[in-house]
Amino acid sequence: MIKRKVILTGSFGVGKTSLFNRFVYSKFDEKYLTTIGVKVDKKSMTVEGKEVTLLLWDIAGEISQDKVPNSYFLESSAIIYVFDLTRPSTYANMEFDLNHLNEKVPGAIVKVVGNKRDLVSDEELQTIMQEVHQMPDIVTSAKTGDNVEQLFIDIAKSLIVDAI
Amino acid sequence: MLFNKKQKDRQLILLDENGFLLASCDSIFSTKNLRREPVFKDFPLVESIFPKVITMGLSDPKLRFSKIETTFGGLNGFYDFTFMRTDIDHRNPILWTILDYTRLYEDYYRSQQERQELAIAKELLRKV
Repeated sequence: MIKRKVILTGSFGVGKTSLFNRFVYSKFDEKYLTTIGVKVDKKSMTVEGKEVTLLLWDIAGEISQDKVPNSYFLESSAIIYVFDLTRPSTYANMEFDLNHLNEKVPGAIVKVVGNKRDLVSDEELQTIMQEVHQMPDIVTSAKTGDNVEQLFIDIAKSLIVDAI
Repeated sequence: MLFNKKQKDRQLILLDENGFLLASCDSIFSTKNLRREPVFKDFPLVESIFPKVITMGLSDPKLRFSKIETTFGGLNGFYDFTFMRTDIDHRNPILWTILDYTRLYEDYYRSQQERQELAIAKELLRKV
């Protein structure tokens, strides 16, 4: 069995906790509730015939990733960097943030996620894709559940490849 | 001695190399049901970082995790966890300290919630 720590990080209000809750507990709350530090839970899934347990850390949102305590990054195998498709401030620092994360956790799998797909039109999404430093690996909606399971399946697949 | 003075907002727990509980002062929560298996089963945070914790030496600085929001293992609130290697009777177990900061962090939570809601609303209004 593969068991790995995965952190959800990014600016505040981008939907990290909503993605966490949607995936782990299959629930969504319309109300924004801040995270002040960290919440941790785990979920096991079978992917490509292998059992993978994700130890998920939902970390308090920071405008800049250098504000995240170093201890939160310890033993991380994968990082989910979430931004809000409706708020440019949440992807304005993406280049700096991704460089910082690569320095802090060298070798970790990094997935860039554009969340709140339900709040933007196809045309708006096209415009946003031209503005971001790096195209997201996946676009999700924690509210509708769109692509949330797929995000974690993709992470699990990458961890399986990493473990070989 | 380590466990003689009880503080109701601080719990001291000793773990062996495999994550099994050796002793606890049980100031915050009872560990009665945590004795048969590694504590990992009830604390995924500990499970995540234990591979790092067991590599710690006596002279290493303690590892601290602040503002942990949890409902696991009988804890329900906001806590800080610290981990360090300690020396007791020439054995070197892991000392896991749980500090209950629920009341302090509830105020912090409320002010952060207000601050961030305002910042989000301002940004979305600018777009309109």
